[in-house]
Amino acid sequence: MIKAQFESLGVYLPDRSVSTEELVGQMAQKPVFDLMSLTGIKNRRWRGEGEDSFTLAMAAARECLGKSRYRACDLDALICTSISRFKDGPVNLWMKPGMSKFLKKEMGFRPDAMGFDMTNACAGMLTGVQVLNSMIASGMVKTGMVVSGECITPIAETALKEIREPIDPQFASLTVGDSGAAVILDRAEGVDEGIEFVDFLTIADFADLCLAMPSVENPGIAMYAKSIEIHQEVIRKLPAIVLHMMHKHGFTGKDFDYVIPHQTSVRAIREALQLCAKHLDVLPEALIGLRHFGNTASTSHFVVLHDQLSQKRLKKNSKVLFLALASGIVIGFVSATIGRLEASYGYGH
Amino acid sequence: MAMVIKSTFASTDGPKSAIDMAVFAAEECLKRAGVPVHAVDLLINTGVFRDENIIEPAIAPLIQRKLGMNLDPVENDHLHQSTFSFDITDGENGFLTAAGVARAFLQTRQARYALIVSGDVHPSLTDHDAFPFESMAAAALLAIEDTGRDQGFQDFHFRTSANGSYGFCANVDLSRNGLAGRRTMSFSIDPDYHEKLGRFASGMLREIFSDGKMDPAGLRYLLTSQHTEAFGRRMLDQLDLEGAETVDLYSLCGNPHTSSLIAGYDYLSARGLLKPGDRVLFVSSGAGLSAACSLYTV
Repeated sequence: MIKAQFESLGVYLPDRSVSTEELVGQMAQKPVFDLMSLTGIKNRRWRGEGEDSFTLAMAAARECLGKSRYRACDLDALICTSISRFKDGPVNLWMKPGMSKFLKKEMGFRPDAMGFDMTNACAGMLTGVQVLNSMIASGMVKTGMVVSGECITPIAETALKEIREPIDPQFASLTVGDSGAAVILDRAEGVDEGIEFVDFLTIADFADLCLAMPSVENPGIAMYAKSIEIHQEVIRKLPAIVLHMMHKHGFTGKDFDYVIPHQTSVRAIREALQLCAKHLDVLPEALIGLRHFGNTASTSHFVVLHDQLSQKRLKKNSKVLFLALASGIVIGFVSATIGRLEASYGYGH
Repeated sequence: MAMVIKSTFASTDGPKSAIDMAVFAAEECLKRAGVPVHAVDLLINTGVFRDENIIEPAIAPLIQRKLGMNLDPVENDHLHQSTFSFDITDGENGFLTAAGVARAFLQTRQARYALIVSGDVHPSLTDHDAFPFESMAAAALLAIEDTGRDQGFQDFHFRTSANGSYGFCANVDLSRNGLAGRRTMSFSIDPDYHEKLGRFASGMLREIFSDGKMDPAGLRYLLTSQHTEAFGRRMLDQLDLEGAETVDLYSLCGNPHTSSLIAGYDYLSARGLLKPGDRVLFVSSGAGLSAACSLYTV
């Protein structure tokens, strides 16, 4: 099987930053808990005038191509994994054609390159990585891009209007931030570089615990999440799944420099990782970017990685365990050495 | 070793819900194959238009849930047998895109059985006059097999036009639809969309034939998207594919959108019209403009 690597990463973050304090200040029904200390989110980025899922994805894709050795016309596949598929307006939901068709044309992909949309809630980009990694491993394609533009602050705007209960299914909507992210994968250059394994499963018994759909109380989009139940189920199941993956793929915590979990809330992440620690032996350092960016949905792992790479905080040839946790409930693991990405951010090797 | 179709199912009799119709088709498809529901490792939903315009989670986990497919591998202590599910939305090309992805999973031994399901409904879950498609549930079970003869799917090919109109748009601006966002979808179709699609898909095939990437010799059936009556027949004429036949589902039930290719294959299969060695060319086309194809040997 052919091994794939992360060749390039591009992230776009809107300029405007909105604080948790500012959001809570607008609420008629104030939360009974301190949202900032519970989630660890101080600020999140907020779309500017004229920005939507398409423009965020496009900006990230341009960043990604700017750091890559490839041009768009060199790539064999484009997979767009946005949950929010808003174009020509921040809540203008496009079902057909898919975002990938617009992005392909705008970027100048070859007509014979694959281009499709794929959704899997907040596990979307990592599922895209799983799909593209499989396509590269099987020889179907040599290179490709996974991109997502998440214009999700519209759910926060709806929540601000509709939260009425102290424990309300729309509270999680206040944790989100806007962003775009794109990664290019190609064939790994050496045995030590690239994606070692990817493994996902869907615990569908709990598929209806988080639903996002148009609101029936206000024009716009809303998310209804039973966050406590989701957290409890994940907490209950994650250690057994981690143990299973360790046996299946032969790793321990010592094998990784960092773990990047899906960015939900600091308290939830810490609790989940602590429960896994007894199996992992050593808990790798967790990379968390909630303070500045909030939960950016399907882009969250890559927003954090970009932030760390930009500040040159990571060790050389870091080995990273990406941990996907998403509505579905989707749990996924991506193990990768990211030396090539570090080089593209100016790390000396 | 090739990826083969183990079984298919397609019907317009399913419930009026993208989730429930996919469940209906999946159960019937698995029954035909004699494969238990828990044996499916990979579940891909390719339906585009869904109940109440849900955008999260993916529709596939909601289908998996109703199928009772490896629901909680931790509680039930069977982590060695789990299912991974997600959506691929690529309009009419969804089946071939998902089949290409499924083959990559099967070839790299990440899955043994891949189940592709499809079906579209108007978000209002009614027979809305503006909905240009027929709600049809479809499912196809795929697996890698070594049958000792030339069989299964060959390469998958894709095309998107580099410029010009997208031909077909479906969207809903939630800021302009009051409280009706869950039951609204606007459709805009170029007047010459279907003619353009026929030419675009035929152009792709001509190019692939002339590049030697596919040999149409001995082709038995051409299965196409069902944009208009006799859409496949016109493509056969344009391509001068003598001796090949097509299935005109449109005249029977209208345009089944994402379910068209599975439904075409199911039509032939259910009537006993497919013989071992028959060559079937799947070719889809849709908004973008876009098209996909793959040659399949029964």
